[in-house]
Amino acid sequence: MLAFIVRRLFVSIWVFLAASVVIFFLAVNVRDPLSEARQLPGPAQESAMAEITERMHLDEPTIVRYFLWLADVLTGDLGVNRQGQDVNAMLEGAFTATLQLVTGATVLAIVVGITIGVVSALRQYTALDQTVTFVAFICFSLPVFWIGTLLKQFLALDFNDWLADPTISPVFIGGIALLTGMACASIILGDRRTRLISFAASAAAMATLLAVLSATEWFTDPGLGPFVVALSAAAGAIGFTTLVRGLEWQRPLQAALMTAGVGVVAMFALDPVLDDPDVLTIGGLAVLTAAVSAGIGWYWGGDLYRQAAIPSAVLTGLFTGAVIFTDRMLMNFDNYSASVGGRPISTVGAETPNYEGTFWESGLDSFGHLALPTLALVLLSLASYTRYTRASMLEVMNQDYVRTARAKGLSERAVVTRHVLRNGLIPITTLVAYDIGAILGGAVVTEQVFGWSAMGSLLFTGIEQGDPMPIMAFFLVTGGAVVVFNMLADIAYAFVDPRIRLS
Amino acid sequence: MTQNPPASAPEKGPAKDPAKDPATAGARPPGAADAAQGMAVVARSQGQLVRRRFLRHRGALAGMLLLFFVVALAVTSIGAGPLPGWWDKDPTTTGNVVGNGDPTLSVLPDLLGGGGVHLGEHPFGQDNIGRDYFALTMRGTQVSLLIAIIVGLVATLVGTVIGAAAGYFRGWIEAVLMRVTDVVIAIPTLLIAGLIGVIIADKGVVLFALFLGLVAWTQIARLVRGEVLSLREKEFVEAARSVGTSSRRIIFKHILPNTVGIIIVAATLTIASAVLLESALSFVGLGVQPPDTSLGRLITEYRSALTVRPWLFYWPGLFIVAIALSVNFIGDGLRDAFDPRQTRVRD
Amino acid sequence: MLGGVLVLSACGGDDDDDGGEENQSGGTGGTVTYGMAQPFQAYNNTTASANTVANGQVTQQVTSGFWTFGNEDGQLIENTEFGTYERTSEDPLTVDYTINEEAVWSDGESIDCDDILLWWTAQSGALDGLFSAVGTQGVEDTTKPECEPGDKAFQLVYDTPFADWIYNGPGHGNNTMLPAHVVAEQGGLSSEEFLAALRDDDAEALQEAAAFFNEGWSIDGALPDPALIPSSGPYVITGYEAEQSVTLTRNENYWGEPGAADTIVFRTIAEEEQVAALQNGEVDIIEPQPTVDLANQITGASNIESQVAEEYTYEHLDFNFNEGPFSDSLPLRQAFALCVPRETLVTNLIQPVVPDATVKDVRNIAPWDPGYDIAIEASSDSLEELGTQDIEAARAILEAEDAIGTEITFSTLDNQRRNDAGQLITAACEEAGFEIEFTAELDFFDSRLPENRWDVAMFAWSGSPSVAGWNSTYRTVGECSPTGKGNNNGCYSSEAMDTLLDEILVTSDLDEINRIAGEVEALAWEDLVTIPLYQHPGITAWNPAVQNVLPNPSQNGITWNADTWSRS
Repeated sequence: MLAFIVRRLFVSIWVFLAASVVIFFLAVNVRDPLSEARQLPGPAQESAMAEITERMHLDEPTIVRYFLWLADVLTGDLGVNRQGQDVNAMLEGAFTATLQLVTGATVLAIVVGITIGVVSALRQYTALDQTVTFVAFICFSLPVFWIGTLLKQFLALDFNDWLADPTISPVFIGGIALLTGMACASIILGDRRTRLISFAASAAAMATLLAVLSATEWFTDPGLGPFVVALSAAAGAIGFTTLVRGLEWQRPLQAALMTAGVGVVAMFALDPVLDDPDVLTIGGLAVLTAAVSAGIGWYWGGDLYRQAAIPSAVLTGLFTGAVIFTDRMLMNFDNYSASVGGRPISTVGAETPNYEGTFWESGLDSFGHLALPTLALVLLSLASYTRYTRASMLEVMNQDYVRTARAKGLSERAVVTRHVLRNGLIPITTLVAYDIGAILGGAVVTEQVFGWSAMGSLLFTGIEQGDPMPIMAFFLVTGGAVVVFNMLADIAYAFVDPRIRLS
Repeated sequence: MTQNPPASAPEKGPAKDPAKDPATAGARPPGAADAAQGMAVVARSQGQLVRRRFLRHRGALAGMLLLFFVVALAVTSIGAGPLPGWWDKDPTTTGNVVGNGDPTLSVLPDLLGGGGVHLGEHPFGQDNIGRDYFALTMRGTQVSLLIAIIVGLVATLVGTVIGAAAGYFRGWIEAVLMRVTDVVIAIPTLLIAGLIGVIIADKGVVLFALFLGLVAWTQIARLVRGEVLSLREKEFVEAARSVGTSSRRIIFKHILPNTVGIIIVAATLTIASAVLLESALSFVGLGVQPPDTSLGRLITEYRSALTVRPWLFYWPGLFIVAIALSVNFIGDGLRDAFDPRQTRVRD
Repeated sequence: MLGGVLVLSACGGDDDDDGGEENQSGGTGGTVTYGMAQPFQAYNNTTASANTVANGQVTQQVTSGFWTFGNEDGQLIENTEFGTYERTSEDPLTVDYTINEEAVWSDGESIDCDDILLWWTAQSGALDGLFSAVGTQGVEDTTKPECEPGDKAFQLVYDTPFADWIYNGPGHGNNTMLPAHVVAEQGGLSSEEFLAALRDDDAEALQEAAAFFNEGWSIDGALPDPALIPSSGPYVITGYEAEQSVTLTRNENYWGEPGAADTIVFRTIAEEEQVAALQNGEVDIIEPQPTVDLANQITGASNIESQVAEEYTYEHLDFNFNEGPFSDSLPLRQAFALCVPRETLVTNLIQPVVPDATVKDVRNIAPWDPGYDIAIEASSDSLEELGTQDIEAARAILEAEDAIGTEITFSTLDNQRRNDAGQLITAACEEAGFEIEFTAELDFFDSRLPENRWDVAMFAWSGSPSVAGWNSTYRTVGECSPTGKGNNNGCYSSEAMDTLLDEILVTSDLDEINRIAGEVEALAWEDLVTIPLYQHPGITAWNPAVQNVLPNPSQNGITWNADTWSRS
């Protein structure tokens, strides 16, 4: 295995170097970097051209310039752009912004995509499945800048306008309720009557909820309140226990419920800490939560149920933490909204310049700026995860071992979670790796729509100015990511399948 | 593939109910129903099976119809090359802007309070200098389709040859070809496409598309290689080799025909993504150059028209979505048709 | 921290209004955010490679000088807060400059002799251009001013008469005085040593200082030490996010009228995204290049104010005088001038933005410049003959010249308005009998224009009231090559024109300048060097909560009076 990794690493380095040569030769020929200087009047023209020529080594042959670049890069110096600015500094800012966008969008797309894919595979050929398939294909076929422009108009400008007077029209309430009802009805398995009941119940619940939220102007000053938090925590406890072990045994469920209870109590106890924490505090609290939850599971589960109680409790604990976190965010929403003139969803950039507020307000500022580009990217990559998960699940569900599991009388829940999900999701892990180039490409275009100064502007300004250094910096990061992720995926495959590493 | 039973497993769900499927109900002999009842199994060739499965895929059929409609509309309306079209305006003639350049297309009948069903003088409106926007959109559609098809063809050809050679010959040929593939994969498509786009900007659409095709073949090469790797170990190839068949003949007569399925599917999906790639490149200003236009370029030019003259923004967008959507559906149908495992129903 | 508090108090209304500091002008002026397309990159905007409009817009408020372009008409305004200047002799042309006694850098250092000498050394290109400068027109013809440490007055004495002397002293941003004490320190010299080296032309001693002057003020990822970027204007640079924003706060040591807003943020936003950002309250002031839709989007939005106006920049067609069918055929140029639909261009492309826009009839002089009527008058014969589109007449000329079907390459930069204009011109002139190959490329300025691979080229000149700016456009070039032809892209050559241009450069009487400028126009029409098309339209849009937004047509744009912006 080690030999395989070393070999793969060696190959990757050569591949990357070869690719860098290709890009460098294209990048130095893309535009004339002296074009703007040429338009300057009189002597300024000469001095500007001389300055740029010297800075960019324009009088050297391309191959020499490549090795000059390579020598610098090996010492960690990415050079200067045409204006003489340090590319390292430019890359740092650009990379942080793009990474933020890509990570958030990819994680969200994976979670949502897999969930939808699993549900639609389990309900194959129902109206739900076909709707999901259709919507997935639509998303798959959208030009990202087209949808980005629409999102900006409708979800930023119009939504912010709406926030000034957040009442929901009855038609809209009716529509959402109808859709919710239809979705719930098609998820539930059962006869017509059961479905009708679930349709009516969920539609009515949604309609009531929206009507109440609208009437109380909840959207101007949102929040969950202790009651909803506690309710969600309890629901989470039951849900996660079902997923992990089923509800036949009491101990794991009790452990999870206890964790949820502790979480709600902690919410009140930690009130002063949560007023304006920093990132470290939040991280620490998350670790603490996991530890305490694990402790509860370990103790209450006893020897017999420990294996199920611990994951149930930990998942419940973290979920409760997340709900409390969300609640806090929502509670700070009105403050934040007021500080940006009542228009919390932004259309441009990654942050409000010079914004200073509490942890929560800064968080909301990031959220307000990330929301739309992330949504655009999620829509774009959601489809492939959904489709892939669905196909993979269906394939696994037809395997003999699944049939065997059913035959020996395992519950449907156990069959799905223990056999189908686990095996069906393995190939998806590598999907991200092989897809990283496309994800970055989508992100780069999305950034342009939402006016982010990130990797995209590094590349496009570089191309526009015939400036190879920023282009190469872009390549180092994105091409590097592609090579590394591909290598990791290959190694992961080799780990699973010994035939590959022997070939 | 052939070890699968004929596509006769009882399937549930509306899409798979042959009797209700208008597209296939009339055309199919009663044999299908017989097979479902396990009475007589009609022998069918691989090609027939694929066709039957494809035609049962409702999405793919709809995709075919939509794509046919779009292509027919784009080609016949303003004509192509020497062929004249039935639309009396062309995308380059300027003129007076009539009535603010508003679109004259109306689909609401008089009864419903609309202006009646008619195309009018300028169904999609006019641009700033009085050009007919319908003709422009059709021209954009033609260019986008042309680029997508060229990219699809070039990528498929290059990818298949490289993948097949690498998979069949192994050894240093494979090593070299796969490293070349790795190098191309290592370069993000948008980056290299953008650079090439700028460098050959004034050389026309066809060359631009050819170059895009030359960077888009890696996926196909990998797939084909994988398939060839497994096929070359099969008994029938072994047999051919043992009677002294040349490598070329083995590749072209015995191996490639068996990879046609995945090649067609991958080619289709490449075409769909090429449509979107072209539009993204045009959006960042690295794509088709004027005076020619493309759907991506039209959207980009009229992005700020969204609230002012929305039709200028929506129409080209709808055509891009229509093309990409229909091609994706066709690809999905083809995949199901060539690889029935994916649609087999849980029982 | 202060900035953050101010932002909150400014936008959050009455929450905690006492967070901001009271200023001398009374009350807080809030935060005003300006959206600009290009990022801020350098504190020193006077070097050839750093000089950009964006840098100029920021440094305008940070490094001040004796004069700037401003007001509604974009003419020169003297900045008497900084100092005064007057012409004290015509022969030799002598101008006396006096810096305000109270003028200091924001770090307390007085603005005086060393700053003056540094300015002169850089702007005159002395010491073989050791200190980089954008251009040296004028200053190189003056003798080095003399001054003693602490002196706040100096004299520029010209070797030859010079038309643009009023634009030639230290101004804001582009040709401003920079803090010599910072340059000295970074060059490893004491103030005295630095001054001495400047006075003695000691290039050796100045090497390191010059290196800092040329490169050291380029901003890489983060602001340099605040001590390196002091201010001589109403604002000082206090915050910077690479490629995203630069923040100015009030200069507490400014001796003149303090800036009205507490904070001015210059935010980098691509033009296409600016309107949405303004509508969404993320910026307060924008001035994008207006397309028809963008202008309608702005005027259609309910919550923003806007103003449209013509700018100094104007669009024109250049003929290639070096080769091709137009190079030696005046009749063909006239035929082309007659077929160009100048009226339609304005109606379809400009009037939707600026309703009262008109066809541009003279080149270098804007309708609001004092010499405009004189130039129109001087060109009236040509305008009569060629000023209106007449396809029949154009065709008649082509037939007479036996030139129907002459093949023309017509090129421009790729953007929406130019594509549209190009299509209109192509359609009309093909009707007249030309065969036109129209190209619109993103790298038009990189290759096609400098390499003369065109017969007609369409692009814009950015104008200003100064004469030196356009002087080189029509002057005979030494060599018709990408580097040799300078601004005279078509390589037009005429002895009569060269004489006029020489004459105008050394004239310092305004009426006389206007008269010669009129003659230049008349000759440019007679020879049909170029065809003027239209003044570029400009649009400025702002949040009604911001006061004192006054658009002007000069290249400083809207930020010329940013120090008086405020937000309630």
